[in-house]
Amino acid sequence: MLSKLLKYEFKATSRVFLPAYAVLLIAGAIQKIMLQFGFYNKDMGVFSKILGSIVPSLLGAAVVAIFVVTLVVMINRFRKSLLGREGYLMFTLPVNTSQLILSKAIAVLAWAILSCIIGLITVVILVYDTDFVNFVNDAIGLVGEASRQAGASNVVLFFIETVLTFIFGIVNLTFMIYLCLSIGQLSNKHRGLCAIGAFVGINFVLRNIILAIISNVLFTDKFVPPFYLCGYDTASIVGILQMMNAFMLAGLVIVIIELLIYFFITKYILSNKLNLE
Amino acid sequence: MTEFVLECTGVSKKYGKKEVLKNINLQLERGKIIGLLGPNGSGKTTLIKIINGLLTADEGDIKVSGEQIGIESKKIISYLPDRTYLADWMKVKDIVGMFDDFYKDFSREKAEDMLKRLNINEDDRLKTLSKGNKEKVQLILVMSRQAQLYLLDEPIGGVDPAARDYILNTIITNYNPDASVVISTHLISDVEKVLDEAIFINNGEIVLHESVDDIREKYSTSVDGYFREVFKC
Repeated sequence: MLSKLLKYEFKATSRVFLPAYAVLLIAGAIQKIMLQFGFYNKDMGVFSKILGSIVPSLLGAAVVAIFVVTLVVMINRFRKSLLGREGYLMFTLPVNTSQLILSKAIAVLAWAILSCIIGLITVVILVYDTDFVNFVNDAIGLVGEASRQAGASNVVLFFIETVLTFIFGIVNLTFMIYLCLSIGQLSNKHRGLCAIGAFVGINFVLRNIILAIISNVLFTDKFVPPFYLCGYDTASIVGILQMMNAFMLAGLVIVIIELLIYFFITKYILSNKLNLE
Repeated sequence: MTEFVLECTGVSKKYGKKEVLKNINLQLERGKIIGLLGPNGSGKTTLIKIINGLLTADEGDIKVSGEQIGIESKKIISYLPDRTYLADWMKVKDIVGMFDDFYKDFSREKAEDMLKRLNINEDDRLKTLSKGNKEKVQLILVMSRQAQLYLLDEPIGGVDPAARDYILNTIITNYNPDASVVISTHLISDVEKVLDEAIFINNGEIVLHESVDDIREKYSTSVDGYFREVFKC
């Protein structure tokens, strides 16, 4: 059933993302062509001036729009299609609540990743020239050099952890927003206000509590530095990289624990306290 | 198969301090068309939403064909809400496809046949349909399922009288002896001719649950007439 839900979720969201991607890529390509031929430098009168201001601003707007759209879709696909009137259909389908939540989250994660890739492609289109190729080669050489010095496995681990932190960071944000909206729908009158209140509450209060627990209970003076950062040789590159990897891993674990908490509370609320308008 | 298609035991619901359902006890047999009749704000919609799992009761127990509210109950309930739940961007054929995907008991041919009969083009976007036509699409989707319990919340509120007759006909001809249909409405005279039983609900309490024939015999008036008597303002 999850695959069927995903099919409709992608169908519903692709209407928004695909045109946005098209605008971004086309604006990027036009800008590139203009730059390539020195169009903006030539004196071609008003026409070049107009284009010279329209294309870059269109490009800037498209970049901003993609990220705004991703965030708006993250919020609205949950708020409208589950907690709004479309919820009357979604919540009477023979699927369980986890599947409903996951279908929304997986789709938005896929779009967020794709948005970043498209954004990256646009940047590459814009800056692609011989200098850029050299820069990429240098960067690859640098990574190779780092691998020789710090051990390939450490470098690979570093990249994997970076990617995972990015991915789970998006999922964490998504589930936190879902939780806030689910708390908001418990109210009969002030749904939006309650959702915002929940967002503030989770971010400031809960985060401080978690931090207080981490710093006061887990890592009192007896534990400084935290256990997961002990035993590394900070004088060598290998040791520093390993310590960074351990640090990122600890952060990743916290991000995942948080998102699991958000998910299960959301699931509980939508399964047991559903209160559609 | 259980004797009753729906059993509610001691179901109560409050909105804040306001009690909208007070200790509802209800047993519905199979093979009946039942009118859930009551004035505005009597708790009809709330009860139907609770049976569908869209709201949670504060107290009480509900069984649909012996199943607790959940995936299993959703498989056998066909629900028409009192509002349109269609996503605007979809075409009629998209939503038909969606029902076909999710409900095993959905008959695509039946839906396509009824759409044709009511002159609704499958390629039209839902956004472009009139309110009445959207309601017709929803009703067609709901009645194209072979469910055990149909819950129709105000099914004829927004459509013209000619379509009303067609819809009521569809309801009578489309359900089977194992299924029951609950029609919630305050337009009693329109639905009276198809009802087997009537439930009167007022201020969150069931004040009467009898067969339509019994009502006519006992009170020597139509259900509509008796309703006007009971709920006289």
